[in-house]
Amino acid sequence: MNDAVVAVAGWGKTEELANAVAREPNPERVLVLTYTETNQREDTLRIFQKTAGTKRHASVMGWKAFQLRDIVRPYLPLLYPGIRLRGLSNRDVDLDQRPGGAARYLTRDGDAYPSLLGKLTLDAIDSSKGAAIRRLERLYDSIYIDEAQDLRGNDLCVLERLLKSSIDVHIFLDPRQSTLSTAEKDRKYKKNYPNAEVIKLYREWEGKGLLDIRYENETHRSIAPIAALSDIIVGDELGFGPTVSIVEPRGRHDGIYIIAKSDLNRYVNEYGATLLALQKSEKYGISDSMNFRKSKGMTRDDVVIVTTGPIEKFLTTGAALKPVSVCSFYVAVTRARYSVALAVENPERVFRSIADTSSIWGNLSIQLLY
Amino acid sequence: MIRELRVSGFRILKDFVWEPKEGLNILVGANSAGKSTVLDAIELVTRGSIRGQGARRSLSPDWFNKDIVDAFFQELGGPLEGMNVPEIKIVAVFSEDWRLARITGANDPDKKFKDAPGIYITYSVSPNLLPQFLEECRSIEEAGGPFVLPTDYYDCSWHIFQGDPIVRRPNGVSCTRIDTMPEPRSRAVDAYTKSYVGEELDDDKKFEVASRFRQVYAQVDRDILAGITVNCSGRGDLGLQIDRSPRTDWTNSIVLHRDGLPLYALGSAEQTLTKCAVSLENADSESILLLEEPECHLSYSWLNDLVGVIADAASEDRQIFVTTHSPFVLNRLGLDSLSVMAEGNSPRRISDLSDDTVRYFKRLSGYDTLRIALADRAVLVEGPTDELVFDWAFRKARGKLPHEKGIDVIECGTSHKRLLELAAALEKSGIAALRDNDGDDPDYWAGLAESHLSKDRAFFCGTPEEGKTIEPQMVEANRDKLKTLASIVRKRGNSTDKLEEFMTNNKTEWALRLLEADMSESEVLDIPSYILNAINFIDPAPESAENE
Repeated sequence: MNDAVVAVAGWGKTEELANAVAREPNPERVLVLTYTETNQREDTLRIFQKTAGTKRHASVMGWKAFQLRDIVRPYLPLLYPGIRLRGLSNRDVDLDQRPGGAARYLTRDGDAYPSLLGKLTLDAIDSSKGAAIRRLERLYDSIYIDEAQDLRGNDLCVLERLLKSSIDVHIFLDPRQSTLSTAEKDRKYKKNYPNAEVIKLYREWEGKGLLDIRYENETHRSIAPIAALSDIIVGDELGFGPTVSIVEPRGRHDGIYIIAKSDLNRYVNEYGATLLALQKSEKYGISDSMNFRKSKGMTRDDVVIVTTGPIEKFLTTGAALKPVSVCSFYVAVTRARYSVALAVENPERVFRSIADTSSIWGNLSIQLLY
Repeated sequence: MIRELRVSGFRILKDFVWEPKEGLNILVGANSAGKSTVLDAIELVTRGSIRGQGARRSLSPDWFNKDIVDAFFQELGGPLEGMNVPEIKIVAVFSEDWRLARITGANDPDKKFKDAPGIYITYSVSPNLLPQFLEECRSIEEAGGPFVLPTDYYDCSWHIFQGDPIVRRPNGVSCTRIDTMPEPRSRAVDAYTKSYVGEELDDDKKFEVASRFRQVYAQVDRDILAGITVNCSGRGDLGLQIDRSPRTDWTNSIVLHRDGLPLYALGSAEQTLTKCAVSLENADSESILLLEEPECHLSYSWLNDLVGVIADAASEDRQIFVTTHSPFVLNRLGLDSLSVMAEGNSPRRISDLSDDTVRYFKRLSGYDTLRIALADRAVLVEGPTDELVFDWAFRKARGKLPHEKGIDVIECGTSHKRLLELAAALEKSGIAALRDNDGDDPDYWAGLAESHLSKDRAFFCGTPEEGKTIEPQMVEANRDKLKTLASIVRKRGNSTDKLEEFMTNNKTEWALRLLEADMSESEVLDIPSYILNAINFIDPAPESAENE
């Protein structure tokens, strides 16, 4: 039976996935897939913690490595006879050149272009006339997919084929954190299901009986005000429902703060907060900052976010952010356990806007520092 | 199990395809027909090694097919395009099996299978070394030979049908070769002993053994070796001590013994049987077992034991390949497992042998079924008399004995039908069966074997009017030369009185005299017509001879 767990940031997806994998009766017939190397490392460690001491282990693989090794490589001869597949190319396809045939998917050396690997995989499945899926069915009882919101374009079609196979597919995703894409240049589904809207596709699959969706809205990471802020950022057009925090405030410096960008240095020193920014940190005179998107998966007590122009505008006027910015901002905010400081150009204006209880901010309590 | 084996360019196997069956496969053929090369090919492709040595390092120039190598050196002067650089390729395709899903795919180098589990190994010159390789070959050619390929330019690559190169044997594929040659140490037995020791001794015991070994080493070092200095010509003196490297680890010093005799000191028969039993014990049940000429180094009764062990081990999952020259092994293991090969050609597998006939030869395992399997042309006769008379008749008609023209005369009692069935199952052509009519019409006897007869396999019997057995037939054929016949077949005198009775009572004897008699005398006699017909069938006379 296939299922998808749609969980808020901080629910504990990795933990839950590791527990489920550890319960599998035949771990050697279990595959865990995720897009980024960071997640592969994290999943491997977490699963190993749960299963230490046993001899048989599930294998954790990158989504693209899986496509290459288990589908494209075995059946490429049926699709493009005589072409030797080497690996994954570091540079992506240049669609402006309008490459055709195999050249659309593979470099001259036989390396697959990352963005179109999903389509190549799908074509390989089709030209094998079902053999590729049969092969997978013989190899695996269940496939777990972590951070599935990263799967985009034709990778989603490949996922659909897996859902239709006899393999049990267990998907973990948070569409609100759709900041990465496995298929940057692939136009498939891009318009209809951008970023968090990918949930609509999963709901269609649920409608067709391909999987069951479960929503997990409890955060074990962030205190209530932070959860509330994250909900406002996402909005409720997609019907994810409100996040519920079960974290007790620690009793000092909890909640949401507004500071001026000029006070960044002082704030970081005073509260030991982790700086999340889109630009290089040197600009703010701090040596250690992290990109919003790269912060995915990590947890910090205190976080300070250097807001971008559009974010500050959103904070002051409620003007909608681009879908991708919504996701990045959501990721950044949900890293924090106890406090989130928003560094802005004009702290007073932002503060006035948020304090206005008639705005989208409702009763969100914030403090203006310095 | 291996469903198809393809070998090209490997020794005598120039272009070889074989579909072995599940369970047991018995490979027979003349010497140098390529039987062991088939086993070598299976070992190489499934293990990536041969006789314990890695495939890469094992390559030797004589592995390449000689015809291909010679042709290559001949073409060297010509244009580079289309040059056939000698290569070796061995492909094993397995039957569909979920346990082999990982090695399943469409990467069959010959593009024959679109979705099958398989492995292949190739030896070829890497493209970037090709110019130097050709240069080197040209200089060999200019020097006038010997035409030996410089193998150091060759790359060995081992792949699965999924497409990945592999360095280790894939899960689910295993192959064990049982050597019947007596040898000082068998790797399989050593490994088995080691793992047995590992399981039998608990950690404390192991520490104790290791500790005692160390004590003995230390004692020998201290008490004996310490007193010896090794002069090292001006570079300072060296001392002696016992080697403590893993090579001399105590687990390597433990061997199997029977009544105090280590296995390697036992007779080769016991060695072979133990090795075979150990390999079967160890091998995964889905493994491939290779066994070369088990009859060598084994006496009859041991062989009987071994054959029993092999027959029991064959199963749906375990594929066994046996080469043999022994009809006993062949009959006991079951003729239905037979594949016949000749000169590197793809073997012919037996098909459609009735269970009844398989059982018949299993029980009467003395029959020389191998001869019929290997013969180019064969004549089946009842007994020694018939064989001797046929030899005589053939020599008279063709000037040579049958075996000199590659015709095997096989005595088979009255089992013509069984052997004809075997010949038919092997699609043998050129088989003549001769038998006494025993008072019945020849058509009756031919009718019994009819389903196994063809234009290339025929039955020959004398007519009842000319006599029931070969003696009256011979007398009838020489009605007008009875004196000559009598003088040849009788020890003394040439009385034609009761000649037929005498011959019948002295069966082999008269026939031997006929064959050994002076040819100028014996060839005056006439050949019974059914024998002559058989000769003309098995060895059609050239037209010129016909006209004489």
